[in-house]
Amino acid sequence: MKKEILNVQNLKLHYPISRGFFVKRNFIKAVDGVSFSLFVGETLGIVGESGSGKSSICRLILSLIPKTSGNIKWFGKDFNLYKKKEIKSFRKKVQIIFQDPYGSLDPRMTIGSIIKEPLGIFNKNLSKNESTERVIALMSDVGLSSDLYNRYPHEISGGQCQRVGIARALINKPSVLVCDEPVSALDLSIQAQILDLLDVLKHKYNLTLIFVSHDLSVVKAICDNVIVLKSGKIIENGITSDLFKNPKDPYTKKLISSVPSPIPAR
Amino acid sequence: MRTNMIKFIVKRLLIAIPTLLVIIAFGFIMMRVAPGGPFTSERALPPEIERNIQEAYNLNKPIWEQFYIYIKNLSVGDFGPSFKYKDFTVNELILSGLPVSVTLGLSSIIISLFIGCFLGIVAAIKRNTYFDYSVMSISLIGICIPSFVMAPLLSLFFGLYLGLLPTSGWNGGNVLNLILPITALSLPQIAVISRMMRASTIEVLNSNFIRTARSKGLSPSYIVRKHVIRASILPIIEYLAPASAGLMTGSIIVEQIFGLPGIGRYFVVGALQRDYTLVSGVMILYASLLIALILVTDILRALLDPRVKL
Repeated sequence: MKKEILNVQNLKLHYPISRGFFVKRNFIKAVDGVSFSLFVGETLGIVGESGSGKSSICRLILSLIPKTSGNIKWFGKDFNLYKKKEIKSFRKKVQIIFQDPYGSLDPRMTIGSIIKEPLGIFNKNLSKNESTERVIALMSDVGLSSDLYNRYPHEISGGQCQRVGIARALINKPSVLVCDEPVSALDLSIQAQILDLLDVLKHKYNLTLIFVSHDLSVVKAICDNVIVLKSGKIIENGITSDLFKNPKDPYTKKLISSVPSPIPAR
Repeated sequence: MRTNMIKFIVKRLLIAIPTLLVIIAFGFIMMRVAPGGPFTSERALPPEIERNIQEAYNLNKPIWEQFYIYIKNLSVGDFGPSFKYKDFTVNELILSGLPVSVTLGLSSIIISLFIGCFLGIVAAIKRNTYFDYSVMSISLIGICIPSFVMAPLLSLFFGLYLGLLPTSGWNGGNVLNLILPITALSLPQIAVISRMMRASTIEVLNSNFIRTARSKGLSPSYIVRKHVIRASILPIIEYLAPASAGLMTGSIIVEQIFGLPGIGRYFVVGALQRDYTLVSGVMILYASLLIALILVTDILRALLDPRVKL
């Protein structure tokens, strides 16, 4: 039995959409009672159409937004994210890369300082040279030349921005990396490069991955287990190969059949 | 970067020359189109005296020649004699009023910048709390109450009722004399700046790179200091140029109410009395100050935002 790293029970996120004295309160149920587990070393895929709650789940388990109800246990522990120390130790172990590679980087900071910034929080007594060396080493790991150290995000390409995002997430050697649609803003050839990079880094850094995507072919290629989401609920989950072979739910069947096949049927 | 900056500054200063010329010409014509002249009075002057005066001030020459003489004098920094304040040149009048107006304007813009930004940022972070609501409603009042109401009220309350501060006068730049006028000038600016700062901070707080900063594990106060302020202060910088030019050339009303010998009153009195050279002089001062400050804000913006190329 593999070790459980994350346990989510009955997680809910509801947004109020009308507010007033006489109007009945209505809610958008972005995430509506989701439960799943993540085990050490696996790659868990979360798929679903737009608005199915994939990104919301990412932000919830990262505590970037407050949950409505439910339990999120990381490493068997319920993190109290209103305590500074706990959130700090949590952020060291669990990191996220975002969908919008360019917008997720502070436009006023150089690539080097973006990657270096998290280093200072956890390693206070690291010297300037040491941290710069670590940043440059990591930059070469993610395939960025060290010439880019003093460049700004607007001066590099989208694919390079996403590599910066990955480097920034990995600088403190986390054990879990959540990828919230990391390639959907990039074009196809760059997508493949970034996916290959993630695969290499997963082994090099012993990462456990959560991979969110609406692109089933991507998920099929890299995930061990898959969760299928629709309107905030889990419709189906299981081992990737099984699920793709014998989808049980009609929604899953529809999703899978919508993947364009490399050899189009005539 | 540095050579770019110098090139940019030189270019802008060169562009400023035609801009100023147009403004001067416009002011020159506007003043002369206005009915009456500096020496019109109720009692008609004997024709020979009038001719003498006209000759002394070159008013008998055709208008284009007057303009030519004025520009020629300007190019060596001579704003000409005042038509109404006898025995004073415009240079002397401006020099006597400018220190007063600049002291008032500069201190109130600095004070309102700090207080306004602080209130705006805190209101944005604590949005939809009582702090936010009270700052926003008080600032709305601050915007609505004109300075000609605020200034006498302050003077009445702190000067007369409480007897804490002098009601008016310059008194050689005594700090106590400055408190009330600076407060009257700052309050509306604080109100405007805090509202602008709140809006732009909220926008920045919702942006993706702040989400990234939070996911890095940085502390909220560090995020605000390092990431938020640099982005959200940009609209304020933009607003600062016209605001401080306006404040430094003298708030006419506040200077009048507190009896301060600033530059603002020359503008009004000069315009009413058709003191051609005085009005033009103050106008040129205002325009060049504005041009200079806009240049400064452009440079500041480029320093704050690497995406802006000079």
